[in-house]
Amino acid sequence: MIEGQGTTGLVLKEPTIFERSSAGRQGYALPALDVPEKQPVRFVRHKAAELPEVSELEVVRHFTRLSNWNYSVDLGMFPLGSCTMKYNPRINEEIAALPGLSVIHPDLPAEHCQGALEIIYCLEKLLCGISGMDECTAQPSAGAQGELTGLMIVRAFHESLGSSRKIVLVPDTAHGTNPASSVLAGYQAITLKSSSSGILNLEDVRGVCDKFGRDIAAMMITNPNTLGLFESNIIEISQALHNVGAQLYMDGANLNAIMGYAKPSDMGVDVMQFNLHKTFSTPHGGGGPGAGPVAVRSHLAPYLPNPRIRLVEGKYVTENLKSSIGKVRGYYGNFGVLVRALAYILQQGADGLKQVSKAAVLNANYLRHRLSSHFAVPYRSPHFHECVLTDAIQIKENGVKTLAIAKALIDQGFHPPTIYFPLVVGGAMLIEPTETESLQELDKLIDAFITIAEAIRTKKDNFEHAPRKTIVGKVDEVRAARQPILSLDDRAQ
Amino acid sequence: MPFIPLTDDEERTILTTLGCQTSDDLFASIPPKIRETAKMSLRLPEGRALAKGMTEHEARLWFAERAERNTPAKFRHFLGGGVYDNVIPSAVDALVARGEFLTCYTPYQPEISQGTLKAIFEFQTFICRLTGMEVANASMYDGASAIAEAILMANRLRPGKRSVLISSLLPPDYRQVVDTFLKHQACLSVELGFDELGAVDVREMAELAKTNDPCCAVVCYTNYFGVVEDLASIRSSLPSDCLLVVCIPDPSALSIFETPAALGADIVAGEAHQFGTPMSFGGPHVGFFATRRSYARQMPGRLVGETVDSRGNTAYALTLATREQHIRREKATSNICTNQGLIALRCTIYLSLLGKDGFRKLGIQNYSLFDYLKTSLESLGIPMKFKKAFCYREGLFEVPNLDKRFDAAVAKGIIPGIRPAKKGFQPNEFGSTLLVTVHPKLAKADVDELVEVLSHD
Repeated sequence: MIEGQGTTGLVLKEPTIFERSSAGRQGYALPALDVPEKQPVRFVRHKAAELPEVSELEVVRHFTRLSNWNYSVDLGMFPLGSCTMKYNPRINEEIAALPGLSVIHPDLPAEHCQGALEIIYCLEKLLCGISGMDECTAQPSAGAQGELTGLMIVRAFHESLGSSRKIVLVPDTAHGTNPASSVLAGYQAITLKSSSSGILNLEDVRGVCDKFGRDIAAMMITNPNTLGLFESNIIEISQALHNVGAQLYMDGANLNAIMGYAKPSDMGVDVMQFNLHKTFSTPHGGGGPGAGPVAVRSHLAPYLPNPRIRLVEGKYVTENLKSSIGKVRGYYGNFGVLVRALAYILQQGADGLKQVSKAAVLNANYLRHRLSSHFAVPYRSPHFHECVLTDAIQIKENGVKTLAIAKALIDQGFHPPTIYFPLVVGGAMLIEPTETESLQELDKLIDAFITIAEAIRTKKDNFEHAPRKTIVGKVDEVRAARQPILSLDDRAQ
Repeated sequence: MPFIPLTDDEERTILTTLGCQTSDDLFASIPPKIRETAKMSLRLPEGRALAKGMTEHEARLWFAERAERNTPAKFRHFLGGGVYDNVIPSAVDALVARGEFLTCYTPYQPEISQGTLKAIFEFQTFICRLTGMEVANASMYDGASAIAEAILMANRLRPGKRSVLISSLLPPDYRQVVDTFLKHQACLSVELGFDELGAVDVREMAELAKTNDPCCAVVCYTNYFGVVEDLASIRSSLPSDCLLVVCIPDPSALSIFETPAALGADIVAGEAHQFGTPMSFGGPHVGFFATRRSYARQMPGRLVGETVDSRGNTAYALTLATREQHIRREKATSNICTNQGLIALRCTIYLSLLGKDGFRKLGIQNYSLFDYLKTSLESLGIPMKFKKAFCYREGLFEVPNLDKRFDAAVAKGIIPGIRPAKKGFQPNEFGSTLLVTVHPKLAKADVDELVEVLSHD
């Protein structure tokens, strides 16, 4: 076994919280009731919900132990391609927890929530400034809901022109959410093959535009794409789409690579979403909450979700648009996430955001360059914020595949890259270091990769049994799916 | 720059390694025409230019100033209608602030995500035990999108059906989200009216079910008027192949009222933010979604399952992923990628702390305080709009001179409730009504003060 920074320590076992229960124990005292106690007489619950009975310390210990089983950005580098696991500044947590921002009900009359409305308004304006787009809604809950919102806006726009289009074009490098969102918006998703250089071929796009013409509602492009490559034909692609009346949707998941270097508006983009939990540093929280604001050019603005926030004579007011697609979620969106993202943008400023993109791109290219003599690199051109390696060399040398390399990295003390995505690259490892990692950390990751590659080349280890140092060994995911145990009460059955 | 460690020297080292002159070389694949106009000029509405960023302390002050422009914390409020204030045990914040929970990702690598996975498994167990349903997912964006997804699932389970019956007493935000999602579905939505108890008009519903060939009926338990719906009689008045979808914006009611599962629900979806998460102006909250075991493979969202590892230990993993967008792409059951992981964790910690007895007490206390409020208002001539409505912890009152009395309450530091006429209900019928809600931050003295100010000019 090769030693990296990953080592074992004292990690404690822990049952579920329900198994810690002792009848009669309490973990919290509610404020006392000072009016007569009443019992409902109708629709009474027959059997009390079986919640655990545990003390506060037991709860604290339980969840502290669980937390020790997680890998996180705070613990070490998390080069998960496409997910942008950058550092989450703690001041943003402090700000979002201010009572004046967190203990406020969304149905407060507008004069009682001017500060909250101002925050949303500021964020929407700044996202327009960053992207060059004209108007923005902060309502969508996450990137995928932003995609759906954007496509519903596109649909409403076409319908207002009396045109019922059927197709959304999606490159084969796209995130899985793109085709799924297209279908949910009532469209058929047609996959477009990217060229051997990793980006879309302009002639292919023109060909598809000729073939389907006015049946095309929109094309969804991620730029830079999920291979970390800039779609350099983007202006011509947008023209080809606009010639048949179609709209260009940009999946802004990778906006963190181009801030200050390219504005989506200048690429001919009509509508896009931002992933605040990626580009603007709000914490991922083990899978959410995120936020996926949507920005549009002015011709699509009449269809944005309700309500819109406006600044009228120094007061923030809400307004409902007649032609709006409606609401896509309750109230104003994930407000607490919007607060964090705005705090981040205010602290970076325009100059800082450009630095973010520059450092993210420098880091990714450094990694790619240093690793390219040990791993197969399918695309040679400079990359943006992420790069792709494959397992081609390791398969040839000792039959070791991407999954084993990923698990071996865990024992070296790193979170693995995104694996087997994008689908267009066999055995892909998509690596995104982000701008918040130092050169020293990058070198450590590179060393870990090289150590693994060496062990494979010299046949010292094929990592069949990795990871070895984690609280659990390789997890039997097949069994999890075949005999689903989805709650504690399924165990007995 | 605090968040970017790259020094000028290190930048030169990297550029030398790459054989580049400047970092701009790396952006050469962006067409020059785009690069020329790429400079961002950021400005705040107040006029301040944002070329350079604020320091941490400046940002703190900027937000503190905005926070002060919202209702002062000393205000009391009787707002609810889908978003509920609550006391939050201190341990909740302390535990979710741990970076191991805050800064990890969706648990795709189970060996280094067992903490998150096990917590989600516990969340799923809590939701099953609250609702009585057999399976629950890892959470949804919010209650409104959860109920919209529930209807889409009912559509998948009953293909070819013509319509969806929807109670008019869902919280208005929920209803608007449902309308947005149904716009692109072939299914027609048919609105269910209410009766003199402020509950779904069951007789009318039975007629509509006969003529509209519905895939499901969607009812709210408790509804927007605070009324506990009679789910058993709703179920028995529906055709047997019509699914019953129960929307639960206020799951604290499940502490004392019968589970939707016991009353015949097929899909239960709702909102659980009040369990440990502040109202936060409407989000982030956490939707929940539960159903029968036989429908598990048609569910949207993430699911965590218990299994074993290579050493024979109990272990957890995301499962039944073949429903999901990253595998199935355009054939997925939903486009959802994230859940509300951290908020689901807050809910899990809160319910663990509250425990079996505390949870029941929460319901009893809400119920008792509302009963006191209702009795007090009625005794001073402020009746409920639906006089015999059976409410849990909120209700609709007819308040004379509402505009004036509302303002008088605000002047005393009390936001007295929500005006349904401002949330889309007919002003003719609801113009003088006020939805008044109680929550654990309120005590007898607060209620007495509210009653005092609402009961006279």
